[in-house]
Amino acid sequence: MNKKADFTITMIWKFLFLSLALFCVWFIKEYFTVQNLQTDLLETEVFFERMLYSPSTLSYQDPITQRYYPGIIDLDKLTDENLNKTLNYTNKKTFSAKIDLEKEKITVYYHKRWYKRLAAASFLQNGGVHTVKRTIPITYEENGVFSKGVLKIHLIKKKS
Amino acid sequence: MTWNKRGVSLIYEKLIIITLIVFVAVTLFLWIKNVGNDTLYWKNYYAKDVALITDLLHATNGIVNINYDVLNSPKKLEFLLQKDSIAVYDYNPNLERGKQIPTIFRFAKDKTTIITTGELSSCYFKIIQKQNTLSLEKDSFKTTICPLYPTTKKELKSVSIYVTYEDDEFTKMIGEAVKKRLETKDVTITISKEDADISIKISIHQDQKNMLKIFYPVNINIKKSEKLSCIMKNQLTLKLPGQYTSVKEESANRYSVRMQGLNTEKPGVEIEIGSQEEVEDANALKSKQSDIVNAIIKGVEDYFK
Repeated sequence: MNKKADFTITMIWKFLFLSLALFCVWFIKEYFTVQNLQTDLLETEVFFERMLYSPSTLSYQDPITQRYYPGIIDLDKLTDENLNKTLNYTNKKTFSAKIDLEKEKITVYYHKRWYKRLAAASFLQNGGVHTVKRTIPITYEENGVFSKGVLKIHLIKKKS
Repeated sequence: MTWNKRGVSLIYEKLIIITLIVFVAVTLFLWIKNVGNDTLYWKNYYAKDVALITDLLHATNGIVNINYDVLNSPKKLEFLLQKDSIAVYDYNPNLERGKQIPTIFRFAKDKTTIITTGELSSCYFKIIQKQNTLSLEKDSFKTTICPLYPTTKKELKSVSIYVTYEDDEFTKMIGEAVKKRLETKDVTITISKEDADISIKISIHQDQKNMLKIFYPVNINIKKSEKLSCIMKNQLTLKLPGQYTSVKEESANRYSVRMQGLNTEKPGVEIEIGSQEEVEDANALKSKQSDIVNAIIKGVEDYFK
């Protein structure tokens, strides 16, 4: 090998080593400083709590005493329109969901358009969204009659 | 003198590498310094936290009051409750709101809940949900539980204290009154700070009227100083209720200028009270001085109890 080629290879090795050292410095910097908070899971929990227990969203209200019963679902409130009005995020892409009450064969959507788009997308499980599937045993009220059922919720949340 | 070509190229090579290393080191140092002073993380933290609490409050039924404090941020923050989000700004009275970039986090609106929008600049506030209205309200500092350990119990008769103050009319009157009151309780007021069991420095800061700052030296007795600082903070808050919307307790290097005047080997505190320039009424000023003196005396008594 001639001298020039030898010099070039030495330089390449040196710069590779320098790049590795710089990468280590960058890695340490990234690893030891936290500037953003990942709260996606917490946000989905807050969403579920609010959907199930908020007086205006799904909770049943006794017409005589005006008392709300968290955990008892009022079937009259289980509509697309009511969900969209009582859980009104300015950015509609943040959350979308499909809610099934199998016993009554009721299926409602929260931000239906976005749910259909995101649910159909192939990157659903590992892309820019979190998906949570939850089965919740509930009591529901219809025409003054209380029955037991299972609410299946498929929530899609855009990663923040 | 003549240089051979290879020698020159080696020098250039080394110069380039040294320049690169210095550049990376300086950039990294500046970046870390910037992150340390930056409030971006805390704005993000508090915006998310308050917005998620607000979100959850929509799911409650009845009246809920949540006392909230913003003490972790290195600088003071301002909150703006909007119809659908919480915006957090750096506290900067000299900069128009429109020129600042806030950190915003959203919550879901509800057709039945009315959000009372508004700005808030306080380290303590309440998040209130009642009768379908949600609001943020300014609150003042509440007392905290002070550590019982280490034991500092001692008869007041056998205690010696060093009291110092800034060369200012307001603090001078407080300092002298504290000395006189302590003497009536058989406490020895020492002239030499080296002989004192604890030392207290009283001063004034110009930052904010409603801010109380307490500093203590980092030394072998730091736990005792922390206890003294906590007791003083509580007493000043109890005797001047609603006065302090911001309270800061910080340790300081014992060799720093701030700690000059204190015996930095023993427990001690510097109490910095907000500037009193705005209090024009002489009676109000006198009453305030009297409250501060009472708080310090009670603080000393509690510390040695």
